[in-house]
Amino acid sequence: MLNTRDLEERWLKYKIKSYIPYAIIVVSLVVIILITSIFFNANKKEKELALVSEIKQEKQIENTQSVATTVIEKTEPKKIIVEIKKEVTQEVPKTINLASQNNLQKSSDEPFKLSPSLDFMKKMQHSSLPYHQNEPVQQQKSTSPVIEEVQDLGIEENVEIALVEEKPEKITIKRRDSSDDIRHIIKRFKKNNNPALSLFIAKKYYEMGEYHKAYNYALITNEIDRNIDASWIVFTKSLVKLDQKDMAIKTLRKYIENSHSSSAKILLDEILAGKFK
Amino acid sequence: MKTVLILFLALNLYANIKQDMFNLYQNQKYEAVCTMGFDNFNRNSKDEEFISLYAFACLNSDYIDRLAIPVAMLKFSKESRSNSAYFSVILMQKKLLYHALQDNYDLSTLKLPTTDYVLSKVFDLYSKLKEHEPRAFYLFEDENDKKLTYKLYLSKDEKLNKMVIEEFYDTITIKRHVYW
Repeated sequence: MLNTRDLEERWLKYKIKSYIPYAIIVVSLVVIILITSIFFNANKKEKELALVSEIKQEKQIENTQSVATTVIEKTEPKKIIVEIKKEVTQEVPKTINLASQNNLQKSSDEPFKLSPSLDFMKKMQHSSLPYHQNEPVQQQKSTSPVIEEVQDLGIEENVEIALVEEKPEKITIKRRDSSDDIRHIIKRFKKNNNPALSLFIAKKYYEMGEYHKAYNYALITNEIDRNIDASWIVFTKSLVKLDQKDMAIKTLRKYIENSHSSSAKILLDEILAGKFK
Repeated sequence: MKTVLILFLALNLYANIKQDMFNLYQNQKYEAVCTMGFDNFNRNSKDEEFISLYAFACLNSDYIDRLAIPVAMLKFSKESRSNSAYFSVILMQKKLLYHALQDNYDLSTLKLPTTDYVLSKVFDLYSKLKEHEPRAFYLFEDENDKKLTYKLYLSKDEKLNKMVIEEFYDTITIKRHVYW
Protein backbone atom coordinates (compact mmCIF):
# COMPACT_ATOMS: atom_id res chain seq x y z
CA MET A 1 0.00 0.00 0.00
CA LEU A 2 1.28 3.43 -0.90
CA ASN A 3 1.93 5.94 1.88
CA THR A 4 0.12 8.87 0.35
CA ARG A 5 0.89 11.29 3.17
CA ASP A 6 4.61 10.71 2.89
CA LEU A 7 4.40 11.04 -0.86
CA GLU A 8 2.47 14.30 -0.59
CA GLU A 9 5.01 15.74 1.82
CA ARG A 10 7.85 14.79 -0.48
CA TRP A 11 5.99 16.29 -3.44
CA LEU A 12 5.46 19.51 -1.53
CA LYS A 13 9.15 19.71 -0.63
CA TYR A 14 10.06 19.09 -4.24
CA LYS A 15 7.66 21.79 -5.39
CA ILE A 16 9.05 24.31 -2.90
CA LYS A 17 12.61 23.54 -3.98
CA SER A 18 11.68 24.08 -7.63
CA TYR A 19 10.41 27.60 -6.79
CA ILE A 20 13.56 28.59 -4.88
CA PRO A 21 15.62 29.87 -7.88
CA TYR A 22 12.75 32.09 -9.06
CA ALA A 23 12.28 33.44 -5.58
CA ILE A 24 16.00 34.25 -5.30
CA ILE A 25 15.92 36.11 -8.65
CA VAL A 26 12.86 38.15 -7.64
CA VAL A 27 14.32 39.05 -4.24
CA SER A 28 17.68 40.07 -5.72
CA LEU A 29 15.93 42.22 -8.35
CA VAL A 30 13.92 43.98 -5.67
CA VAL A 31 17.08 44.60 -3.65
CA ILE A 32 18.91 45.98 -6.71
CA ILE A 33 16.01 48.30 -7.57
CA LEU A 34 15.84 49.55 -4.01
CA ILE A 35 19.58 50.24 -3.87
CA THR A 36 19.62 52.11 -7.19
CA SER A 37 16.56 54.20 -6.30
CA ILE A 38 18.16 55.17 -2.99
CA PHE A 39 21.41 56.08 -4.75
CA PHE A 40 19.65 58.27 -7.37
CA ASN A 41 17.54 59.99 -4.74
CA ALA A 42 20.68 60.87 -2.83
CA ASN A 43 22.22 62.35 -6.01
CA LYS A 44 19.08 64.36 -6.72
CA LYS A 45 19.10 65.79 -3.24
CA GLU A 46 22.73 66.79 -3.60
CA LYS A 47 21.96 68.54 -6.89
CA GLU A 48 18.94 70.28 -5.41
CA LEU A 49 21.03 71.46 -2.49
CA ALA A 50 23.69 72.75 -4.86
CA LEU A 51 21.03 74.54 -6.94
CA VAL A 52 19.46 76.10 -3.84
CA SER A 53 22.86 77.33 -2.68
CA GLU A 54 23.57 78.77 -6.14
CA ILE A 55 20.22 80.57 -6.21
CA LYS A 56 20.94 81.95 -2.74
CA GLN A 57 24.34 83.20 -3.90
CA GLU A 58 22.77 84.87 -6.94
CA LYS A 59 20.16 86.55 -4.77
CA GLN A 60 22.88 87.82 -2.45
CA ILE A 61 24.77 89.20 -5.42
CA GLU A 62 21.64 90.94 -6.73
CA ASN A 63 21.05 92.45 -3.32
CA THR A 64 24.58 93.77 -3.08
CA GLN A 65 24.24 95.19 -6.60
CA SER A 66 21.00 96.98 -5.78
CA VAL A 67 22.45 98.35 -2.56
CA ALA A 68 25.48 99.58 -4.42
CA THR A 69 23.38 101.39 -7.02
CA THR A 70 21.24 103.07 -4.40
CA VAL A 71 24.36 104.25 -2.65
CA ILE A 72 25.74 105.74 -5.81
CA GLU A 73 22.44 107.40 -6.67
CA LYS A 74 21.71 108.93 -3.29
CA THR A 75 25.34 109.66 -2.33
CA GLU A 76 24.69 108.75 1.28
CA PRO A 77 27.26 109.11 4.09
CA LYS A 78 30.57 107.33 3.95
CA LYS A 79 29.57 104.76 6.58
CA ILE A 80 27.28 102.86 4.24
CA ILE A 81 29.84 102.91 1.47
CA VAL A 82 32.39 101.49 3.87
CA GLU A 83 29.96 98.73 4.84
CA ILE A 84 29.37 97.86 1.22
CA LYS A 85 33.08 97.82 0.61
CA LYS A 86 33.44 95.37 3.47
CA GLU A 87 30.76 93.16 1.94
CA VAL A 88 32.48 93.24 -1.40
CA THR A 89 35.86 92.39 0.10
CA GLN A 90 34.34 89.53 2.05
CA GLU A 91 32.80 88.06 -1.08
CA VAL A 92 35.61 88.30 -3.58
CA PRO A 93 34.45 85.43 -5.83
CA LYS A 94 31.00 87.00 -6.03
CA THR A 95 32.37 90.27 -7.36
CA ILE A 96 34.11 88.32 -10.09
CA ASN A 97 30.80 86.74 -10.95
CA LEU A 98 29.26 90.19 -11.11
CA ALA A 99 31.85 91.34 -13.55
CA SER A 100 31.33 88.33 -15.75
CA GLN A 101 27.57 88.85 -15.58
CA ASN A 102 28.01 92.44 -16.70
CA ASN A 103 30.17 91.26 -19.57
CA LEU A 104 27.54 88.74 -20.51
CA GLN A 105 24.88 91.43 -20.46
CA LYS A 106 26.97 93.64 -22.70
CA SER A 107 27.69 90.81 -25.09
CA SER A 108 24.02 89.87 -25.18
CA ASP A 109 23.20 93.31 -26.53
CA GLU A 110 25.57 92.86 -29.45
CA PRO A 111 25.37 89.40 -31.01
CA PHE A 112 28.63 87.50 -30.80
CA LYS A 113 30.15 87.05 -34.24
CA LEU A 114 31.68 83.71 -35.18
CA SER A 115 34.22 83.63 -37.95
CA PRO A 116 35.52 80.65 -39.91
CA SER A 117 39.09 79.47 -39.51
CA LEU A 118 40.80 78.62 -42.80
CA ASP A 119 44.28 77.87 -41.51
CA PHE A 120 43.93 74.24 -42.52
CA MET A 121 43.91 75.37 -46.16
CA LYS A 122 47.30 77.01 -45.72
CA LYS A 123 48.60 73.71 -44.36
CA MET A 124 47.15 71.91 -47.36
CA GLN A 125 48.74 74.47 -49.64
CA HIS A 126 52.15 73.91 -48.04
CA SER A 127 51.84 70.13 -48.04
CA SER A 128 50.95 70.14 -51.75
CA LEU A 129 54.06 72.09 -52.75
CA PRO A 130 57.17 70.15 -53.77
CA TYR A 131 60.41 71.44 -52.26
CA HIS A 132 62.87 72.91 -54.76
CA GLN A 133 66.26 74.37 -53.98
CA ASN A 134 68.15 77.07 -55.87
CA GLU A 135 65.06 78.25 -57.60
CA PRO A 136 65.80 81.30 -59.80
CA VAL A 137 64.23 84.61 -58.83
CA GLN A 138 61.27 85.74 -60.94
CA GLN A 139 62.48 88.12 -63.65
CA GLN A 140 60.93 90.96 -65.56
CA LYS A 141 60.59 88.74 -68.67
CA SER A 142 57.05 87.99 -67.67
CA THR A 143 56.08 91.47 -68.85
CA SER A 144 56.23 90.42 -72.52
CA PRO A 145 52.83 88.63 -72.68
CA VAL A 146 51.29 91.74 -71.13
CA ILE A 147 51.34 93.58 -74.44
CA GLU A 148 49.79 90.71 -76.37
CA GLU A 149 46.95 90.33 -73.92
CA VAL A 150 46.06 93.98 -73.96
CA GLN A 151 46.03 93.94 -77.76
CA ASP A 152 43.46 91.19 -77.55
CA LEU A 153 41.30 93.37 -75.39
CA GLY A 154 41.43 96.18 -77.91
CA ILE A 155 43.10 98.64 -75.57
CA GLU A 156 45.62 101.01 -77.09
CA GLU A 157 49.10 99.54 -77.28
CA ASN A 158 50.96 102.76 -76.60
CA VAL A 159 49.30 103.24 -73.29
CA GLU A 160 50.12 99.69 -72.33
CA ILE A 161 53.78 100.02 -73.21
CA ALA A 162 53.90 103.22 -71.25
CA LEU A 163 52.41 101.35 -68.33
CA VAL A 164 55.01 98.62 -68.48
CA GLU A 165 57.95 100.90 -69.03
CA GLU A 166 56.85 103.69 -66.74
CA LYS A 167 58.36 102.66 -63.43
CA PRO A 168 60.48 99.58 -63.97
CA GLU A 169 63.21 100.73 -61.62
CA LYS A 170 60.90 101.46 -58.72
CA ILE A 171 59.95 97.85 -58.23
CA THR A 172 61.49 96.68 -55.01
CA ILE A 173 61.48 93.02 -54.17
CA LYS A 174 60.69 92.78 -50.49
CA ARG A 175 61.80 89.65 -48.74
CA ARG A 176 58.97 88.43 -46.59
CA ASP A 177 57.90 85.12 -45.10
CA SER A 178 55.49 84.47 -47.94
CA SER A 179 58.05 85.18 -50.69
CA ASP A 180 59.46 81.66 -50.38
CA ASP A 181 56.00 80.21 -50.77
CA ILE A 182 55.40 82.31 -53.85
CA ARG A 183 58.64 81.10 -55.41
CA HIS A 184 57.58 77.53 -54.83
CA ILE A 185 54.22 78.21 -56.41
CA ILE A 186 55.86 79.93 -59.38
CA LYS A 187 57.99 76.84 -59.87
CA ARG A 188 54.91 74.66 -59.78
CA PHE A 189 53.08 76.97 -62.14
CA LYS A 190 55.91 76.74 -64.66
CA LYS A 191 55.59 72.97 -64.57
CA ASN A 192 51.85 72.55 -64.99
CA ASN A 193 50.58 75.96 -66.20
CA ASN A 194 47.60 75.78 -63.88
CA PRO A 195 45.63 79.07 -63.92
CA ALA A 196 44.65 78.59 -60.28
CA LEU A 197 48.31 78.86 -59.33
CA SER A 198 49.01 81.97 -61.41
CA LEU A 199 45.88 83.56 -59.96
CA PHE A 200 47.09 82.72 -56.48
CA ILE A 201 50.46 84.33 -57.26
CA ALA A 202 48.74 87.42 -58.64
CA LYS A 203 46.61 87.71 -55.52
CA LYS A 204 49.61 87.23 -53.25
CA TYR A 205 51.63 89.88 -55.07
CA TYR A 206 48.65 92.23 -54.88
CA GLU A 207 48.41 91.66 -51.13
CA MET A 208 52.12 92.37 -50.80
CA GLY A 209 51.69 95.64 -52.69
CA GLU A 210 53.72 94.53 -55.70
CA TYR A 211 51.14 95.66 -58.22
CA HIS A 212 53.31 95.27 -61.35
CA LYS A 213 53.81 91.60 -60.63
CA ALA A 214 50.19 91.15 -59.65
CA TYR A 215 49.21 92.75 -62.96
CA ASN A 216 51.52 90.47 -64.94
CA TYR A 217 50.34 87.27 -63.31
CA ALA A 218 46.70 88.27 -63.64
CA LEU A 219 47.35 88.76 -67.36
CA ILE A 220 49.01 85.37 -67.65
CA THR A 221 45.99 83.84 -65.93
CA ASN A 222 43.68 85.61 -68.35
CA GLU A 223 45.66 84.22 -71.25
CA ILE A 224 45.22 80.69 -69.99
CA ASP A 225 41.60 81.04 -68.97
CA ARG A 226 39.54 84.09 -69.87
CA ASN A 227 36.58 83.14 -67.70
CA ILE A 228 38.03 83.58 -64.23
CA ASP A 229 36.36 86.57 -62.58
CA ALA A 230 38.88 86.89 -59.79
CA SER A 231 41.75 87.19 -62.24
CA TRP A 232 40.14 90.11 -64.08
CA ILE A 233 39.40 91.76 -60.78
CA VAL A 234 43.03 91.49 -59.60
CA PHE A 235 44.12 92.75 -63.02
CA THR A 236 41.95 95.87 -62.91
CA LYS A 237 42.66 96.52 -59.25
CA SER A 238 46.38 96.42 -60.01
CA LEU A 239 45.83 98.85 -62.88
CA VAL A 240 44.09 101.28 -60.54
CA LYS A 241 46.93 100.96 -58.06
CA LEU A 242 49.37 101.68 -60.90
CA ASP A 243 47.53 104.97 -61.61
CA GLN A 244 45.91 103.58 -64.77
CA LYS A 245 42.33 104.14 -63.68
CA ASP A 246 41.01 104.86 -67.18
CA MET A 247 42.47 101.70 -68.58
CA ALA A 248 41.06 99.72 -65.66
CA ILE A 249 37.59 101.13 -66.37
CA LYS A 250 37.90 100.37 -70.09
CA THR A 251 39.04 96.81 -69.41
CA LEU A 252 36.31 96.20 -66.89
CA ARG A 253 33.62 97.52 -69.24
CA LYS A 254 34.83 95.23 -72.02
CA TYR A 255 34.91 92.29 -69.67
CA ILE A 256 31.40 93.03 -68.35
CA GLU A 257 30.10 93.20 -71.93
CA ASN A 258 31.35 89.68 -72.55
CA SER A 259 30.77 88.00 -69.21
CA HIS A 260 28.02 90.03 -67.44
CA SER A 261 29.93 89.42 -64.25
CA SER A 262 28.24 90.93 -61.19
CA SER A 263 31.43 91.16 -59.15
CA ALA A 264 33.08 93.06 -62.00
CA LYS A 265 30.09 95.42 -62.07
CA ILE A 266 30.47 96.05 -58.37
CA LEU A 267 34.15 96.80 -58.75
CA LEU A 268 33.45 99.12 -61.69
CA ASP A 269 30.89 101.00 -59.59
CA GLU A 270 33.37 101.32 -56.77
CA ILE A 271 36.10 102.63 -59.07
CA LEU A 272 33.71 105.11 -60.71
CA ALA A 273 32.44 106.29 -57.34
CA GLY A 274 35.98 106.71 -56.12
CA LYS A 275 35.52 104.20 -53.33
CA PHE A 276 38.34 102.06 -54.65
CA LYS A 277 41.58 103.97 -55.00
CA MET B 1 55.04 43.02 -50.85
CA LYS B 2 51.56 43.00 -52.37
CA THR B 3 50.02 44.49 -49.25
CA VAL B 4 52.62 47.26 -49.22
CA LEU B 5 51.83 48.03 -52.84
CA ILE B 6 48.09 48.06 -52.18
CA LEU B 7 48.61 50.30 -49.14
CA PHE B 8 50.75 52.67 -51.19
CA LEU B 9 48.14 52.83 -53.96
CA ALA B 10 45.35 53.41 -51.47
CA LEU B 11 47.29 56.21 -49.78
CA ASN B 12 48.05 57.75 -53.15
CA LEU B 13 44.39 57.63 -54.19
CA TYR B 14 43.34 59.18 -50.87
CA ALA B 15 45.88 61.99 -51.21
CA ASN B 16 44.82 62.62 -54.80
CA ILE B 17 41.16 63.02 -53.91
CA LYS B 18 41.97 65.56 -51.22
CA GLN B 19 44.36 67.42 -53.51
CA ASP B 20 41.87 67.40 -56.38
CA MET B 21 39.24 68.78 -54.06
CA PHE B 22 41.60 71.50 -52.90
CA ASN B 23 42.49 72.50 -56.47
CA LEU B 24 38.82 72.63 -57.39
CA TYR B 25 38.08 74.68 -54.29
CA GLN B 26 40.75 77.19 -55.30
CA ASN B 27 39.06 77.44 -58.69
CA GLN B 28 35.80 78.19 -56.85
CA LYS B 29 34.12 75.00 -58.07
CA TYR B 30 32.40 74.62 -54.73
CA GLU B 31 29.53 72.42 -55.84
CA ALA B 32 31.92 69.93 -57.45
CA VAL B 33 34.02 69.81 -54.26
CA CYS B 34 30.91 69.29 -52.14
CA THR B 35 29.73 66.41 -54.34
CA MET B 36 33.20 64.88 -54.44
CA GLY B 37 33.49 65.12 -50.66
CA PHE B 38 30.04 63.60 -50.22
CA ASP B 39 30.96 60.62 -52.43
CA ASN B 40 34.28 60.00 -50.66
CA PHE B 41 33.26 60.92 -47.13
CA ASN B 42 33.31 57.44 -45.59
CA ARG B 43 36.87 56.82 -46.74
CA ASN B 44 38.12 60.11 -45.27
CA SER B 45 35.85 60.46 -42.25
CA LYS B 46 38.80 60.70 -39.85
CA ASP B 47 40.65 63.44 -41.74
CA GLU B 48 39.57 66.79 -40.33
CA GLU B 49 41.19 68.76 -43.16
CA PHE B 50 39.11 66.78 -45.64
CA ILE B 51 35.93 67.28 -43.60
CA SER B 52 36.57 71.02 -43.22
CA LEU B 53 37.22 71.43 -46.94
CA TYR B 54 34.05 69.48 -47.73
CA ALA B 55 32.03 71.57 -45.28
CA PHE B 56 33.25 74.93 -46.59
CA ALA B 57 32.57 73.82 -50.17
CA CYS B 58 29.03 72.75 -49.23
CA LEU B 59 28.51 76.04 -47.37
CA ASN B 60 29.61 78.05 -50.41
CA SER B 61 27.33 76.04 -52.68
CA ASP B 62 24.33 76.44 -50.32
CA TYR B 63 24.09 72.76 -49.34
CA ILE B 64 23.59 73.72 -45.72
CA ASP B 65 22.04 70.43 -44.57
CA ARG B 66 25.24 68.62 -45.47
CA LEU B 67 26.97 70.57 -42.70
CA ALA B 68 25.24 68.44 -40.06
CA ILE B 69 27.77 65.62 -40.27
CA PRO B 70 30.88 67.86 -40.27
CA VAL B 71 29.42 69.68 -37.24
CA ALA B 72 29.37 66.37 -35.39
CA MET B 73 32.73 65.13 -36.69
CA LEU B 74 34.93 68.21 -36.26
CA LYS B 75 36.12 68.11 -32.69
CA PHE B 76 39.75 67.06 -32.36
CA SER B 77 41.57 70.37 -32.92
CA LYS B 78 40.86 73.93 -31.81
CA GLU B 79 40.40 75.07 -35.40
CA SER B 80 37.97 72.23 -36.13
CA ARG B 81 35.91 73.01 -33.04
CA SER B 82 35.75 76.67 -34.03
CA ASN B 83 34.59 75.76 -37.54
CA SER B 84 32.12 73.26 -36.13
CA ALA B 85 30.55 76.01 -34.00
CA TYR B 86 30.48 78.31 -37.05
CA PHE B 87 28.69 75.71 -39.19
CA SER B 88 26.26 74.78 -36.43
CA VAL B 89 25.16 78.41 -36.01
CA ILE B 90 24.48 78.71 -39.75
CA LEU B 91 22.62 75.39 -39.83
CA MET B 92 20.49 76.41 -36.84
CA GLN B 93 19.74 79.83 -38.30
CA LYS B 94 18.68 78.25 -41.58
CA LYS B 95 16.31 75.87 -39.81
CA LEU B 96 14.86 78.63 -37.62
CA LEU B 97 14.39 81.05 -40.48
CA TYR B 98 12.67 78.40 -42.57
CA HIS B 99 10.42 77.54 -39.63
CA ALA B 100 9.62 81.23 -39.15
CA LEU B 101 8.73 81.77 -42.81
CA GLN B 102 6.65 78.61 -43.07
CA ASP B 103 4.87 78.70 -39.73
CA ASN B 104 5.21 82.36 -38.70
CA TYR B 105 7.41 81.42 -35.75
CA ASP B 106 8.57 84.44 -33.76
CA LEU B 107 12.35 84.90 -33.85
CA SER B 108 12.47 88.31 -32.17
CA THR B 109 13.01 86.83 -28.71
CA LEU B 110 16.05 84.83 -29.77
CA LYS B 111 19.59 86.09 -29.36
CA LEU B 112 21.99 83.93 -31.29
CA PRO B 113 25.60 84.42 -32.35
CA THR B 114 26.02 85.66 -35.88
CA THR B 115 28.43 85.06 -38.75
CA ASP B 116 29.55 86.75 -41.95
CA TYR B 117 27.51 84.32 -44.07
CA VAL B 118 24.57 85.79 -46.01
CA LEU B 119 22.01 83.59 -44.24
CA SER B 120 23.14 84.90 -40.86
CA LYS B 121 22.86 88.50 -42.05
CA VAL B 122 19.31 87.90 -43.27
CA PHE B 123 18.47 86.00 -40.09
CA ASP B 124 19.62 88.95 -37.96
CA LEU B 125 17.62 91.40 -40.06
CA TYR B 126 14.51 89.21 -39.97
CA SER B 127 14.70 88.65 -36.21
CA LYS B 128 14.65 92.43 -35.68
CA LEU B 129 11.15 92.60 -37.23
CA LYS B 130 9.39 91.29 -34.11
CA GLU B 131 5.93 89.72 -34.36
CA HIS B 132 4.22 90.51 -37.66
CA GLU B 133 1.78 89.25 -40.23
CA PRO B 134 3.39 86.97 -42.83
CA ARG B 135 4.40 88.79 -46.00
CA ALA B 136 4.89 87.62 -49.59
CA PHE B 137 8.51 88.76 -49.46
CA TYR B 138 10.88 90.76 -47.26
CA LEU B 139 13.39 93.35 -48.41
CA PHE B 140 16.31 94.10 -46.15
CA GLU B 141 19.04 96.68 -46.55
CA ASP B 142 22.57 95.72 -45.55
CA GLU B 143 23.69 97.56 -42.43
CA ASN B 144 27.16 98.32 -43.80
CA ASP B 145 26.43 98.91 -47.48
CA LYS B 146 23.22 100.71 -48.42
CA LYS B 147 23.45 99.60 -52.04
CA LEU B 148 23.35 95.98 -50.97
CA THR B 149 19.86 94.56 -50.38
CA TYR B 150 18.48 91.12 -49.63
CA LYS B 151 15.14 89.76 -50.73
CA LEU B 152 13.77 86.91 -48.67
CA TYR B 153 10.76 84.85 -49.72
CA LEU B 154 9.28 81.38 -49.93
CA SER B 155 9.18 79.77 -53.32
CA LYS B 156 5.96 77.76 -53.39
CA ASP B 157 6.19 74.20 -54.55
CA GLU B 158 3.80 71.26 -54.56
CA LYS B 159 6.03 69.04 -52.47
CA LEU B 160 8.14 71.43 -50.44
CA ASN B 161 8.37 75.19 -50.22
CA LYS B 162 11.87 76.54 -50.66
CA MET B 163 13.40 79.53 -48.91
CA VAL B 164 15.08 81.94 -51.32
CA ILE B 165 17.52 84.75 -50.55
CA GLU B 166 18.42 87.05 -53.41
CA GLU B 167 21.31 89.48 -53.11
CA PHE B 168 20.97 92.76 -55.01
CA TYR B 169 23.56 95.41 -55.58
CA ASP B 170 21.98 98.58 -56.95
CA THR B 171 18.98 96.57 -58.21
CA ILE B 172 21.29 94.12 -60.01
CA THR B 173 20.98 90.51 -58.87
CA ILE B 174 24.34 89.29 -57.63
CA LYS B 175 23.46 85.89 -56.26
CA ARG B 176 20.47 83.68 -55.54
CA HIS B 177 20.55 81.23 -52.66
CA VAL B 178 17.92 78.50 -52.38
CA TYR B 179 17.48 76.55 -49.14
CA TRP B 180 15.00 73.87 -48.10
